[in-house]
Parts: sequence; structure tokens; C-alpha cells
Amino acid sequence: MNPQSLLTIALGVVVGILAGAMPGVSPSMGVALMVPFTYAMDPSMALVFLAAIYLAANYGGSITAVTINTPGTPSAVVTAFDGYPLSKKGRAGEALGVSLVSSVVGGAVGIIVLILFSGPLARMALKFWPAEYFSLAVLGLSTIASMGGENALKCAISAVLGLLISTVGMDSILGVSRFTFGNVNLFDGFEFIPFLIGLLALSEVFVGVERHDFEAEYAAGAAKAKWPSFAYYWKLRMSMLRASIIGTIVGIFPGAGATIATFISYDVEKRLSKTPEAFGEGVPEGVAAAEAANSSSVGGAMVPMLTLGIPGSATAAVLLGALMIHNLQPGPELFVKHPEIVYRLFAALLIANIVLLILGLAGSRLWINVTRVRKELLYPLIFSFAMIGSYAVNARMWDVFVCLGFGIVGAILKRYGYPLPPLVLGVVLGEMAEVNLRRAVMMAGPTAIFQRPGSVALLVVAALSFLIPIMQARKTKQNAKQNASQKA
Amino acid sequence: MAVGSFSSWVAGPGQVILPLAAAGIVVVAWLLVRRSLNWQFTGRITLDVALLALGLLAFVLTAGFPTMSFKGVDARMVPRVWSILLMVLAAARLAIGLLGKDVPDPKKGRLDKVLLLLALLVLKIIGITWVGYFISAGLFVLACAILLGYKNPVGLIACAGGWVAFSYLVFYKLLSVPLPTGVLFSTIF
Repeated sequence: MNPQSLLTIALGVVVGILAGAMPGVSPSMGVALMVPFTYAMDPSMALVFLAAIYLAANYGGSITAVTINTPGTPSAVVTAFDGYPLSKKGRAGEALGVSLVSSVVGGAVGIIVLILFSGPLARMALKFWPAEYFSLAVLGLSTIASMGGENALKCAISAVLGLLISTVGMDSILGVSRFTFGNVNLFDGFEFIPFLIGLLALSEVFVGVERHDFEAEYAAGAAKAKWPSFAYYWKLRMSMLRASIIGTIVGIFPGAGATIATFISYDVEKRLSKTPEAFGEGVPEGVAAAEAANSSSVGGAMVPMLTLGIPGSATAAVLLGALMIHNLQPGPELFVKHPEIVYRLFAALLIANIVLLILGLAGSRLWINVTRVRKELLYPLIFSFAMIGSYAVNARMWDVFVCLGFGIVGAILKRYGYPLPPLVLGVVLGEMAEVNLRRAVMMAGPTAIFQRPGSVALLVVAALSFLIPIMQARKTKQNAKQNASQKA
Repeated sequence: MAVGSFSSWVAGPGQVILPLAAAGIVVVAWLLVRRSLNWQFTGRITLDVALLALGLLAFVLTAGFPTMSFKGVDARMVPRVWSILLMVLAAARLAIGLLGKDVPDPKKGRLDKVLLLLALLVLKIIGITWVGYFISAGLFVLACAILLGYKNPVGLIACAGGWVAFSYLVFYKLLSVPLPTGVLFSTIF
């Protein structure tokens, strides 16, 4: 690890914390906005930089959740449950301290699991045939059910729309031009980064401008609060550890994501607590559980991304796209062809975690100032970032139009409750699903995907993964209805 | 019409007529729904019709793809599967909307600001071609912040100037992105 790498990691951590702390800038958006900066970097440095942003953004989201009850990221929602009440009680320092240390502990557990299990998983994946790869893509797509809960239908529409978008351009097997309308700019399909920046960043800005609620809250007092001692953190060690394990496991499942992990961990801590009624009123265990699970899911989400080429979260999907831009194909072959990049990433993630602790402690007062950036200034800058980032991909205005177009599409879908992560997942997994399905059919006929046990097993897991969250959501809805009718 | 001639029509004039027809369906649906009993779901229903029309458009357009195939597999197979799926799912959503089981459309916010912002973006893109990236980007940040209600002149100038300096140093110099200098300036200098 040379000084240049350390500087890159530190820069990634700072950018990640700032991106996570800014409400409206999700980790995936933060990583997407920074991809153009990596063009001039060598692939491993680019991956290290983006992974450091991902890791730190998950912690950054908790800063605004604790101080102004505005989670900077969706996964920081649970942190706000107890973090904000602690702040209101004048214990913001405790909440921020627990949040930081739990993030570091959770992040370390996730990375250790990534180091231990990515190798064996990659070796297993090398034995896969096209049929298994297709089923794997279906498994990745099946997890959209857990992204939307009750909105499973909207999630499915979003994902299918993404799959359809992925077919635009030259067909990679027969070289047939599809949905290009004779436009040469479309021969390679939609460029991924302008698509992503438009869909995630611009749509958020359009929705924000329509809402036009720019009243910022300030929490200057939070930074002045007292930070806890080591003994205080030691008391929370079991909560952190339990949540870290849950977060890592949930993170491994493609599409499950950090938000689900935080809810599960919080629920487990509440059930195990002697004072469950205090949860939601300002309990450090609640903050520790949410943040440890949130950060540990990063390592977990990278396991399927690196070993199978399937993103475990929306941010991992962006990272996957960034890897492809640098001509790196995530999956088992990455471990064979570029092992130095993989092991450099592992080392970098561990160091990024330590850097996060140092910078998190040192910069606590500074981070809170991010919340003071007024949206009237933030939005024009996001627009400018999005435009220049899209243009920089190929130095052509077409990509700027693509970014703008998907920004408008994303804003419309968002306005009517269509989640955008499944659309990204559809675009990311579309080519993998199509190419492998066609290869499998060419090799073994129309029933190819049902002929290999591995493929069938993956399809069964995919079916369960799709149905269980929908059934759970329905059950929860029915229980809520029953409770409401009993009360009435 | 024979299958072959339909395919060539889709691959030819159909490339313009079919998207226009799909857009027409969406506009007609919007006009009909806003005058019907389901007017409070206008946005949702129109969006579902748009998705349905998109699925239908994609399916019909696949007829214009070259009929090349290898071991019975051609380039139309997968787009057709996705377009049929999109049509089925969008139809299910449409049924929910038409039966009035959906939640009403969200309240309209400051759409005027969104439209003005889009106009600014178009002006910026035109400006990039004529006066180059740096001038139009600086003016865009300035105009956009004013449009959104920011009033502090020092903050405005610092933000616009800061962005121009940042994009020049990082993107133009460090990353060597060939940002357009504009027709006007390249003609003069």
C-alpha cells in the first residue's frame, strides 16, 4: 500500500461521508457521480476509491439521521429511530459516537467475511455453465420482491423495463441492431453512467424541485456534545456483533440490501432487550444495531458482486458498472485474471475502515456542516456534476441527452411510486440473463435451464426469494388490518 | 399484408410511425381519463398506459429485426419475452387504476419550476455549443440557484465561480476531458 493508495482511500472516505450525509445523495448516487473521476486512474485504484466511498457513505447517512432526523441514505432510517431522540435529549455526541464505532465494527466484520468466503465461492462459480449463469441472473432479479414490499408489481414492472432497456443496441451474439432507430449513438446501447446518473441523481433533483421544500434544519449544538468513553462502547459489543453478523448475511443475498438488514437487526435487538419499550425513545443499542448492520452489509454485498458478478445492492450495481467501464468483468474470472486487484481491494477496505474511524472522530464537527448546504445551491451543483460526468464518458453531447432523458423518466416513475433500484438491477443483469439463456438454449435446446441440477436449484431459490417477501408483506398487512379492526 | 412485407414496413416507415402511434395512444388515454370518473388517477393510469404502449411498441418493433438465427435462437426471442412481460404487468397495474383501487395521484407541486429548470438545461446545452462549456455552466449555476430561490449574491458568485474553477482544474486539466470551447470563441480565436 503506497502513499498514493492511502491518499485515494482517505479521499474516498471523505467523499463518501459527505455524500452519505447529504440528504438526497444516496451511496449509489455518490459512487455514480464519482465514477467519471476514475477514468484516468488505473482499474485497481478506481475500485479502491469507489469502494471507500461506498463504505463511508453508509456511515455518512447516519450523521443527518442523528442530528436532524433526516436520514442521508435509506439504510440510515433505522438509525434515526433512536439516534434523533438521543440528540433531542442533548446526547447527540453519544449517538454519533455509537454510530461511528458500530459502523467501523460492522464494516470490519463484513470485510472479514468477504475475504474468507469470496475465494471458495469464486472457485465454485468457475464450474458454472450458461444455464447456471442465467438462473443466477434470475436469482438476482428475484430479489426485487424485497425491494418494494407491498409494491411487488411496481418493482417487477421497473425490473422488466430495465431488462428491455438492456436489449437496446447491437445484439452481442448475432450482431443484429435492435431498437436503434438507425441512430449510431445507440449501437452500443445506452451508456451506463449517463443512464445511472440521470436515473438516480437527476430524478431526485427534479422531484425535490417539484416538492420545493428547501427549509433546512440546523443542528449546530450536536457537534459540541460530549463523546462517549471506551467503556461505554464495550457495553454495546454484543449488540454490535449480532447486528454485524445479521447485516453481513443479509448483504450477501443479492438485492436484499442494507435497509432490510438494519430493520432485521433492530428488531432482533428489541426482542432481546430487557426494556423493549424504550426502543424508539433514544436507546444506544438501537443505534448500534442499525449502524453495525448497515455497514457490515457492504462487505456482504460485495461477496456476490465480486464472485458471481451479481450486485448485492444498488450501490454494488453501480460499482459493477464502474468495473465494466475499466474493462474488468466481475465474477469468478476476476479472481483468476486479476487476483492482484481483488486482494488490493480487500486490503484497501480494511484500511478504509480504519481511516473512517480516524476521520469520523476528527471531522465530526466538519461533517455536520454538510447539512447546512442549502438545496438551492446543492441542486444546481448536482445538475452540473451530472452533466459533466455524462459528457466525460465519451466526450459527446448524446450522453448528456441520455442522462437528462433518464432523469425525466426516473422522476416520473418516482412520482408514481415505482422504485428505481429494480430498474438499475434489470439493466445490469439484462445482458447476463439474455446472453446465457441464448447460449444455454443453443447448447441444449429450449429446456436447457432445467437440465442441470445447479440451475434448477438456483431457480428454486429464486422462486422462494421472490415469493417469501411478498407473502410476508401481505401477512403484515393482514395483521395490521386485524389489529385495526380489533381496536375499532 | 404478408409477413415479409410487414417486417420490411416495420423496419422502414414503421420506425417513425409506430413510436408516434404509441405516443398518440398515451395522449388519447390522458385526455379520456382526465374527463372520466377516474380523473383523480389520471397520472397513474396514463403512466400505466404508457408502459403498456411501450411494451406493445417494443413487441411490434421486433418484427423488423433481421431474421438471422443460430440453432433456432434469434435476436428477437428475449426482447419479445420482456415486452410481453411488460405488457402483462402494466395491464395488471392498469386494471387496478381503472377499478379505482389505487391511491389518488400525488398533489402537484411546483411544476412551473421544473419546467423552467428544463428550459434552463436546454439553454445550457445550446449555450455549450455556441459560447462553450465554462461560460454556459457558470451562468447555469447562477440562473438555477436564483430560480430555486437563493438570494445571497456572494454565495451565488462563489458557487458559480467555484464550479467553473473546479470543472476547469479537475475535468479539463487533470482528467483531460475535451470540454467544448464553443463555436463563437473557436471562430474568433
